[in-house]
Amino acid sequence: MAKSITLGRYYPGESPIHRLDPRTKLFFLLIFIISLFLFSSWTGFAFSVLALAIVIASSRVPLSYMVRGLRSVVFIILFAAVLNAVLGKGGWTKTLFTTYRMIAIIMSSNVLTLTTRPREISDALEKSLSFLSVIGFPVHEMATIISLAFTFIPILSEEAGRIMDAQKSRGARIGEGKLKDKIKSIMPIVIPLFVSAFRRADELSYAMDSRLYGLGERSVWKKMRYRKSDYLVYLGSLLLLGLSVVLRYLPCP
Amino acid sequence: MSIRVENVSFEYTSINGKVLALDNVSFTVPTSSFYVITGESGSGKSTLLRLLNGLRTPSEGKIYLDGKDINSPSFPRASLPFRVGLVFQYPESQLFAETVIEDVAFGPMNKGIGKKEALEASKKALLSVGIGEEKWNSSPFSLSGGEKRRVALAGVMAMDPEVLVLDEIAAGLDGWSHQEVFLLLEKERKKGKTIILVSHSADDTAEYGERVLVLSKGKVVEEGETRKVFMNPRVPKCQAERIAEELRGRGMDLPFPILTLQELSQEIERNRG
Repeated sequence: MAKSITLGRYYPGESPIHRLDPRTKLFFLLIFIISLFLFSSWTGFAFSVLALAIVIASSRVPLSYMVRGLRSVVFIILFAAVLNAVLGKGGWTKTLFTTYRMIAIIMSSNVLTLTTRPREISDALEKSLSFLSVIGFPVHEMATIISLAFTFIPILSEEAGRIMDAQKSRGARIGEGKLKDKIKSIMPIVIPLFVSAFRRADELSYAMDSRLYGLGERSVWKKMRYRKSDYLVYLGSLLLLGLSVVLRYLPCP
Repeated sequence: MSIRVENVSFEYTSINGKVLALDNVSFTVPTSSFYVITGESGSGKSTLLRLLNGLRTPSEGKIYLDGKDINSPSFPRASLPFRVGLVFQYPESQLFAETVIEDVAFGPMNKGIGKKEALEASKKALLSVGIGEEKWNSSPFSLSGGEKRRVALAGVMAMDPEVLVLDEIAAGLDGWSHQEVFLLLEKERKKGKTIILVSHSADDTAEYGERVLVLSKGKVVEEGETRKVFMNPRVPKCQAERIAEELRGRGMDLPFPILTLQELSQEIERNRG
């Protein structure tokens, strides 16, 4: 289980996507997700798949790695797909589109987290949302919380793996038997995991306090700067959005 | 119970590609001996322990328990954790039950020996690690760090395994608890249990190990009787030997290597006498 969680794990690399400004990537992700919900025809679907394929290919992250991230949510996707097919009104085409939308959201977010360090994502969020601080929204704190959450996902998943090994060594049979037994069998993992997560959070907050976090204005570690490729991706994103709107609202052959 | 590891390799896939955590490792742990596995961080020690009690399966090679291959289909795999008890590094992070006694009984209950017997075994194990009756019904989370460690150790000992495998059991313990844990292990060994200890400490290795395996980057650097292992210049020296080295430099005639402070003081006595 622990190894199947790729969300929040950075995949080091030097691909064009890795080198993009994190703000650009966030913007593209937003536009891409909006476009996912705009298309309703096969032409739109084809364009969307093409865009996703280009992004994944140019990220140079092995496809197997990307697909692994889907494994933990495969049941949710299947469940939604079956529900859609049985209860939905749109027929198979609509079911296929809906399933693709779910997969594409996960895959595209995976590309962002695999090619961008958590620190960069939170910096980009902070910068992009800084206008909200005018109305008193704690943008910087939110960005820090998000970046810490990202950092902790792989740490906690490793911890879960270790605890699982320890309880198996004490003869625990995890996920076996009836539903009641299954639920009971995960308690020896969930409780220590919570205890360790709270302990870590506690230690981290003390460590941050002792290093004077929140005392005043923080200096910026890495100045974000747009390059030519960033402007190109912005242009591409806007084109994608325009295309999606056109395909949706204008009559299409 | 004896353990024989034969040409074992273990490979896994990580973010940076394939990693060979263990590369053609072989050694034998004789029955009721005190065996120490040592080596720098990331040398494959913890992986090796997981292979010994069946949590992982070697990519290549065989592991024999009293002559029987533990990865052959005919081997009763489910019983393996009860025969080879593995105590993890910082085992206090595995505690979960409401009371100390319940937590310790988790293993024996999984063994299926019945509640009464499980409780008996747990009480015995708790007493042997020095956790008195007054603490049995309190929450394991209310104990001190050293006590938690001992409760976790009792949790594995209560399953009465024939082999006790311990990963850095003394790491982070204060001097007193450290000594108590080793006295306890020595006692278990005298009762006939085989002890396998992973340790970073050259002092513990020199003092308690009968045989030692030294790993580096998944490969065996040295294996054998403790004194022979410490003759290898690639093996870090223990405190007693470092003092002896200093004294030799000042002209004292001391044998090489010196393993314990006791041995050192005897040699100094002999020199004077």
